[in-house]
Amino acid sequence: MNQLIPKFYSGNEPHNLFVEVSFVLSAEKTENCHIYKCFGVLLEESDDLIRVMFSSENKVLNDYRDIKTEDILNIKAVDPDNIEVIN
Amino acid sequence: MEKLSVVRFVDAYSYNDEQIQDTELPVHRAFGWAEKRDQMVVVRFIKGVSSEVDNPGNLVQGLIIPKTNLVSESKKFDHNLFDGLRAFSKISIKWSDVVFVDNTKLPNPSIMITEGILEKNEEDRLVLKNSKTTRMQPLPERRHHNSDEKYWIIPKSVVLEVKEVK
Repeated sequence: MNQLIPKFYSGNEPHNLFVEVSFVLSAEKTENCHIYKCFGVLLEESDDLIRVMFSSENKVLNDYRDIKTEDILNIKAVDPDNIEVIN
Repeated sequence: MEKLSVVRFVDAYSYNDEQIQDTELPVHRAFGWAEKRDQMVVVRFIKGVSSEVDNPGNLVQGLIIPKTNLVSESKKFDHNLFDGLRAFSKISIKWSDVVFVDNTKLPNPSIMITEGILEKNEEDRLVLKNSKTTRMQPLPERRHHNSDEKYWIIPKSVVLEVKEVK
């Protein structure tokens, strides 16, 4: 398992553990591959991948991305106080 | 300036049951780097770190949300637009839609037209039955992928124009 990934709590229900993840795309893994960042709610984590949710509707999962742990460069929890709520 | 944000918004939706259900407008949440622009909020789910990918004119993945879809705006609309509508008349509604973007240039919000029978004129939404929904902009015109579903629920705050049709 990628040692950069701290072990977070996660469950089956959407919760509010916000994470910012830096990652590469497996398909682009070359010397000059691009680095991407995503932000969302950590839904699941296993030895192989994490699932980050980008949008939800009343706890119903809409958009998400599964990121292989081997593609993750960094992951950090984001303090909810640093997140702007736009209504 | 983009900030890590949670954007709360309402959206039009459809379903295909024979019987009409609860038609409340659910509140959606989108997470990402958000930037407020004139008439919309751009939410980036994923952004590139390198300059080749992180071009402000492009969106790796995210949403374009018209400001009229924001929760705070969902009760603000011109009531005169809807007061004269007759129940069970055939109407045409022009409205702005949320756009999911996947690795393309930043688009404007989509403009849709839904034609159908006005089933309900609720406080903050219209319920149409047996309707057809077409995306008018950006061109080319095309049917919405849920166009033929039995019921469409459209927030009044996103409506640009509404008229009865014969």
